[in-house]
Amino acid sequence: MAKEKKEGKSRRELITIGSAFGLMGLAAAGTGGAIFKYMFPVVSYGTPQKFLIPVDDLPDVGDELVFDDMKVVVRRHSEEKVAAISLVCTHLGCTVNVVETGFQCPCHGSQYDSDGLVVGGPAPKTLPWLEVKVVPGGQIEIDTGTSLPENTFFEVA
Amino acid sequence: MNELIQQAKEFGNKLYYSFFRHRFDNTGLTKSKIMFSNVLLHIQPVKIHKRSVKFKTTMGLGLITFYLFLILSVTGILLMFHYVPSTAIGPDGLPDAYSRMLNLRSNVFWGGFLRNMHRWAAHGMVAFVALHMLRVYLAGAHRGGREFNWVIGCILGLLTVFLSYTGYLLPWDQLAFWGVKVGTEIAKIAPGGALIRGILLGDTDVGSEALIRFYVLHVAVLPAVMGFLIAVHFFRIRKDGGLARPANTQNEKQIPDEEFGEVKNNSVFKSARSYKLVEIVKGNEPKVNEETDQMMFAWPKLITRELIVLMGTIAFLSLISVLFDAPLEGPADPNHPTNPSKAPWYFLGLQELVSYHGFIGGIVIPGIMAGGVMFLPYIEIFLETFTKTYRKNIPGVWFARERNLENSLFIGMYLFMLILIIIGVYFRGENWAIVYPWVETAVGGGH
Repeated sequence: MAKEKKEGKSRRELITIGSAFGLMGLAAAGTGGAIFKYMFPVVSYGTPQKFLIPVDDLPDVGDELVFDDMKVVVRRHSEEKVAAISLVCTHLGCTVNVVETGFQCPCHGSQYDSDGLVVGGPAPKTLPWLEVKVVPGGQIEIDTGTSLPENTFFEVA
Repeated sequence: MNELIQQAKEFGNKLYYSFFRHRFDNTGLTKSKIMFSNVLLHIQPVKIHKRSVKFKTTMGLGLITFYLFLILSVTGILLMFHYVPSTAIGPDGLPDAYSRMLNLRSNVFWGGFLRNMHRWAAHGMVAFVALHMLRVYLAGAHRGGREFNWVIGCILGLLTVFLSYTGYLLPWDQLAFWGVKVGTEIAKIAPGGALIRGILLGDTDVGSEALIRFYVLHVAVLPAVMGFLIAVHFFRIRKDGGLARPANTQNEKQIPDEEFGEVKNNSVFKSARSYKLVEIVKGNEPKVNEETDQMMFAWPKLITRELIVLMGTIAFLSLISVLFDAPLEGPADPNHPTNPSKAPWYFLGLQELVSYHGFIGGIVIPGIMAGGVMFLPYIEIFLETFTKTYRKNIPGVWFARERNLENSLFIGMYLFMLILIIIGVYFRGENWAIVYPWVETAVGGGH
């Protein structure tokens, strides 16, 4: 026993100090976790994912129309076939501009062709094509939360 | 009558000694008392090395950085009186936070000036942090027991950048909105970044919750952490024996004694000086009869010089703030970024990197750079220890020949960032395409 004491802390001291710091650590970890959870968003005030467009507002056949607030471009292939392409850059979320050659991002210079395929810049993925559904009341619903392969057209008629 | 004058004098004396506990004469005792009986001055030592007041030693870079922090605190608190962190659309059709900016600019007396001052001081602080860091490294002052203080300095540098970032969100203009949008998208691609993004934004997307959170970070959390770390930073410099200097300064040319003025000896022993043990710090005391004492009293020469730097900083900043208005873009439009959409200049290097690859340019390279620079002194020690290439460490000497390799690499890194920033500011035009500034002027952002 005497030897042990000389070398440093006794077992009793270690247990005392260990439990003291252990309890303090536990309390700190608990508080930290609670604050982390407190800071976590509870309610989302974020933008809605789905939008409705009256069928009458759709572009003419062979034409396309940009819907600003939803950041989508709606393209009409034929009388019945409609597609929606997201205008949110797959790189870092800026809104791309519609240009002659397709789409271009003003933030970091990503370039897409008219089908949203990446042709230049840092964008990692094709612009998502979105799901379009016919809903009652002569409207169509565009779901900006979806991400479909290019050239996915939907029947609207 | 005489008695009355006597009484008035006595009263005046008592009044004086209730404020000050010393006279303002020229003795060493008084000069010591001035320094340690004043709460602001006692942060500094009574006696400093003569080297410390030479321009060449620090160029005042760290001091200017600290002064800019003080100016930012004062102007920031003043601006808070006129600001609301709200994105609600007011009767003028603009978000509240943004219309408060317009109000500051056009209606509030001195509002525009104070906002200019705050913004330009923030830009200046980022620049001076970078310059201060360069000075410290090139003078080898990050070694010799000061390694941990270098780490604290790097954390302070990161805090400065993060304070700037949270600050330019507050006007809720286009720069703010898309800066936060892109910044938090970069955070999202980092491992575990989605969680951090959620906590920063308080929502799934950039909106009113993000503004409140960034506001609290900007005006309370970050400045408090920063103030504390500044105290630690200064405290450690003090305990390490003041500014880094070579062990022997005998052969260096110092400012001659005459320029500091005569110090009267008020000791009983007219040929002796008395020292008192006030603190223990690192460093060598001059050896009796072998070296001349190269220490000097901090009062008044050091304090005067510090005040001159303060006045210069304020004067220059005021001039800039009168001449140039702080940038304010159009109100935040979540649907359309400006074209091109440029961050402030200190982020344009990063934006340029990100425009090549999101993950590598936004997370990997900046992460390696920040981590590498922060732990640079430890990396140096590690390499020196394990390759047994001990180098003679000469702290406080500019461009020491022994450190040529390290210094060149460090300057190279600065040049790399500088070139990226220049490309970002002058060579990027619409849709982030390369433009040549002598053909057409690059527009948008970049302030």
